[in-house]
Amino acid sequence: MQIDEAFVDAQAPNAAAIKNARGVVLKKKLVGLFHSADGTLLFGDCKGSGAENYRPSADFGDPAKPVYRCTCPSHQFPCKHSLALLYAHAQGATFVEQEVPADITEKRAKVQQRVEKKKEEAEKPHKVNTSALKKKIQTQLDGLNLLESLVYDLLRAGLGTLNAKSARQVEEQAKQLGNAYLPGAQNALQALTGLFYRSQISSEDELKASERERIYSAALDQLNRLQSLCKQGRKYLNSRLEDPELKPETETDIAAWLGHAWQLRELKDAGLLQPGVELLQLAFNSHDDWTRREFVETGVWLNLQSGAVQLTRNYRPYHAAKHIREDDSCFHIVACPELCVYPGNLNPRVRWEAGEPRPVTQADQARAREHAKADLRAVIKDVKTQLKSPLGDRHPFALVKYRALGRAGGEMIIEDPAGERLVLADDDHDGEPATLPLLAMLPKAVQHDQVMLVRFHHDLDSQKLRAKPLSIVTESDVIRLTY
Amino acid sequence: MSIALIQESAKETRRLAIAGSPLAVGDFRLKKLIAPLEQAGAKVPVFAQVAKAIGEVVNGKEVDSAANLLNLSTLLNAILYTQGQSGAAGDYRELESLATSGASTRTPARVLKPLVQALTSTGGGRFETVKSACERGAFNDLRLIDPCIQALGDIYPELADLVAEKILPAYGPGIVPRLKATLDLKGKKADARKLALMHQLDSAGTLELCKTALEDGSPEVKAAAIAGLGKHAECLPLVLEQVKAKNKLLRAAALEALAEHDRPEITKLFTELVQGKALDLLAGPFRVLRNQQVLNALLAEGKRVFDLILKGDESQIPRFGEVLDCLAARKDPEVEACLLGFFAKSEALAKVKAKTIIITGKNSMFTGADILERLTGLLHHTGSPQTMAAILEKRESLPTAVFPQVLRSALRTWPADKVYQEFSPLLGQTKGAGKEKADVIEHFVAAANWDEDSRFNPLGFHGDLDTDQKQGVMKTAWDPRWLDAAIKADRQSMVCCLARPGHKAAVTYLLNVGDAKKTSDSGSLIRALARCQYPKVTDFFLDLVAKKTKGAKYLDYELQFLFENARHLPAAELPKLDAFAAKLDEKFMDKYLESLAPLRAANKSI
Repeated sequence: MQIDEAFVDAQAPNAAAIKNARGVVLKKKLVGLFHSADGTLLFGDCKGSGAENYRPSADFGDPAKPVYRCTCPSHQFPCKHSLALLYAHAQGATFVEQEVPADITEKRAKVQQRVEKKKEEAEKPHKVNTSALKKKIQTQLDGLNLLESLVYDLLRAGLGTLNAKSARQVEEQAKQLGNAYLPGAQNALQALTGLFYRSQISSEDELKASERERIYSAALDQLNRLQSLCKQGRKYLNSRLEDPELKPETETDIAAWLGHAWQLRELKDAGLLQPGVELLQLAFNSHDDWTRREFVETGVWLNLQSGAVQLTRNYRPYHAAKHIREDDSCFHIVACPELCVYPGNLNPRVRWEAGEPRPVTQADQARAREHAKADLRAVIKDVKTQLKSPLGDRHPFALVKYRALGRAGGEMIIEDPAGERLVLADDDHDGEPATLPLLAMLPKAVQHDQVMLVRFHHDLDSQKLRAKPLSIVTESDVIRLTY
Repeated sequence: MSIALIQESAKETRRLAIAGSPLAVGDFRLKKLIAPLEQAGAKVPVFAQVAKAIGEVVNGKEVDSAANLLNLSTLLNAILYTQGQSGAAGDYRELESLATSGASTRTPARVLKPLVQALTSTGGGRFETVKSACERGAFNDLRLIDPCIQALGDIYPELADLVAEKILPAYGPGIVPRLKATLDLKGKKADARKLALMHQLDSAGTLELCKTALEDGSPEVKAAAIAGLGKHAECLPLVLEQVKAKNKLLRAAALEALAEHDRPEITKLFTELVQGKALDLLAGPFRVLRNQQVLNALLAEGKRVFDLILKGDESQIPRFGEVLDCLAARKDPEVEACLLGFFAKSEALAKVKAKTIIITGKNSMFTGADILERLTGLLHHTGSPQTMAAILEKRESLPTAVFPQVLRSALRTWPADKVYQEFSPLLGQTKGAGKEKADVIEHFVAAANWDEDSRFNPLGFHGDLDTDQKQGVMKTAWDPRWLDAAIKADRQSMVCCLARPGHKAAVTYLLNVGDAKKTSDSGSLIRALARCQYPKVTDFFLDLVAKKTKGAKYLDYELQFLFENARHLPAAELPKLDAFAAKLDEKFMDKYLESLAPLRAANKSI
């Protein structure tokens, strides 16, 4: 297990924890540094504000799932003391061999028991409380009726009458969707209303007339999606009402649209599992989604086995943000014994329970490049098929091979070996920075025979399909253009 | 597929969605699209579907208008999404590419995002964030280039200057196209910085742009263009023209740029300006001017004006101030001789009073005493034995305000005991000019004993000196009798600085100060007692910490300074100091423990 500073940074729940942990090391508060005989446990003594020293530890018994413990009162894991232990190790501090403390041995045994119990539970058939489920589904159906009536009321009044004040009023009503077990639908409605005010700061709410003109097409598209959500959602829920034993839908992502939070066990039971997968991160972004009241971190990964571009999404609601670990850019390969893949979409969401990092090699870079699609026409066709579905992802990703990167007709383009061109353009999706200006600052070698990760966006007003470059995969590196 | 019909239908649908779906029922513009769509539908079935959907909208009931309109819109969008134009016609051209240094993109988001935020937003603490990131080498990432360019217009000028002078140049000429793309010739300071930076990175390539900026730019951008053009001999005629510009900023920029060149027409220009009204613009240029003729002209003008002042023409005082501003940075022998000549008439000068106050911008000289003060400063800055001797010769008649220069001259040229004999009686003065001079002596002693490792350097007393001069003053040896004089005069700061091992009276004095209810400089006390090798200094320190932290709401500067001086304590006392930490309130503990780090390092190396 290689513990370097980058690994430790990645373990920290947020940037403040990194800073505090480094401070603990600098202030020489770690007064004892130890490791177990087999090297799987690091532990120590750390001065704190209490009368006794804290005892942090980092347990790599299962290297794919390290466990961090500490006797300090912090609710964050790993806490700054455990992180400090790792930083000290990464910086070459001397750890002395010592017997594993009794309390940790006990806790390790309990973890083992829990794992075994979980395995037994997983093997047991899952019993469904039919009447509770029927009641829930009926509530959801009522919620969809409410959503539909909200949508139709908005359209009857006209989008021109929707302003910041009325948008917030709709959001108040939309809270009932959350109560109706439809958080996904609530988010989708907020994605519409959020177009009509500037920010969370109420003093800067109202949009100017020119800004309103620019959002109407997107707003109408979102209304279309909401109507489709109601129709497809109703169909799906009614089928479940008829057969409560029916598992959540896995052919499409309608369940997630309604707000179903997939458990890893459900995904495994549904066979949405890929064993022995290695992932290479190609791009990353984190943004404040104030319509959802959440921070969202999105990782764009290449599945080195299947060549699929898959996404990780980490949602941290405002009220719990401090307690949920913040994702960060990853510069390692993540080896997952089991990768769970969410239903639907060209770029499905993925999750894993255990993943072990290892350095990226040139062989990995070569494998990544091989997976890139060389036929732009075919890629564009797949993207359009995705876009035309009312509930399809409006910003699909693709990893494409290009023969040349340059200009034509005043636009920046990439061209495939067959001469098919794709125009590159920036968008401000999820608050990402512009990437086009960076291309001219890269070495000349990136202009020919390389591989690029792009994200598509279709402008309904100009009827143009464009792609934003997010990273370039060379033989030796992934040049990131966002985060 | 004739997409125009679909696009027209989508346009009308959008219009009606904005206006309200009930208006779609019977809408004439939608209705007239049905026929051509049905016709097209004979060949392409989807057109017929659209025609049908339109029919349901225009012929339907108002109560169903929303649902019908959305059905139509969904169908239209599904078609349009498949028709998006993704290509570009025209010949392929290579991308212009100027690779930058800093092509790395391996900075993680958690490090990058706060930096981007600091560079592109407002609020406190951003300068420190950016500065420390710069020192760590975090800017070796091309994704920070655009945010840095944006920071050139930062509301906090220090941040903008840091980015312009240290950070952006490190990326190399590769960023010039990006700077150019965002340059607004009519812009303000930010765009002036951009142009200056572009010229710095690619002077030949930016020449034409500077010429364009000179024609079309705003005053700030023009000034930057003038500075750039001034570095090219062939562009000097353009710069010369700007000397007559209406805008003072441009005239000043032109003169600064021309001063670096020694040519007959420039010599003639400066010689004329010296005698003209624009002397205030020449202070900057004179820092770099090397032409003897111009210098002589300035000195002659200075003498002329000085004579007029002595004859009673007080209106010449501001002009004389401007002459001195021009001479401020120069150490030529002629300048020194001229200044000594002025100084020789200091008695007559001191008598010149101002009947009226003439306020001329930054020149705040009104009386002969003000001139004398300025002259003494310039002479001292020249720093030759002759100038220091001249100052010391007239020390009795010079104003109190120039006593620092007198004392510095004495410290640099007299033996230590003579300095003591001459100035120690001042320590006993408790009011008036004598007390002011005593305070100066105390400040000098404190500055000479500065702890260079301290982050608290409250005395910026030698900020007007250059490095060599400062070194000269700081290394002065003070006569040992100063310590006794300071104790007698109750000069606490001086005693802290001069206390030495074996001087019992000093230790007694310091302990008494420490026991007093209010001790304002406890950090210095600890340092002094440690220097005196007082055996109980650690206990004394801990008592002071306990006293100061009791009831304290936050870690104020005095406490921070006290903690900082813990490093002077004996390293062997570390266990006692560590044990004390447990008694401290949480808000003080971190800083306290941090302050013990030098003692741990000292222990390790033993």
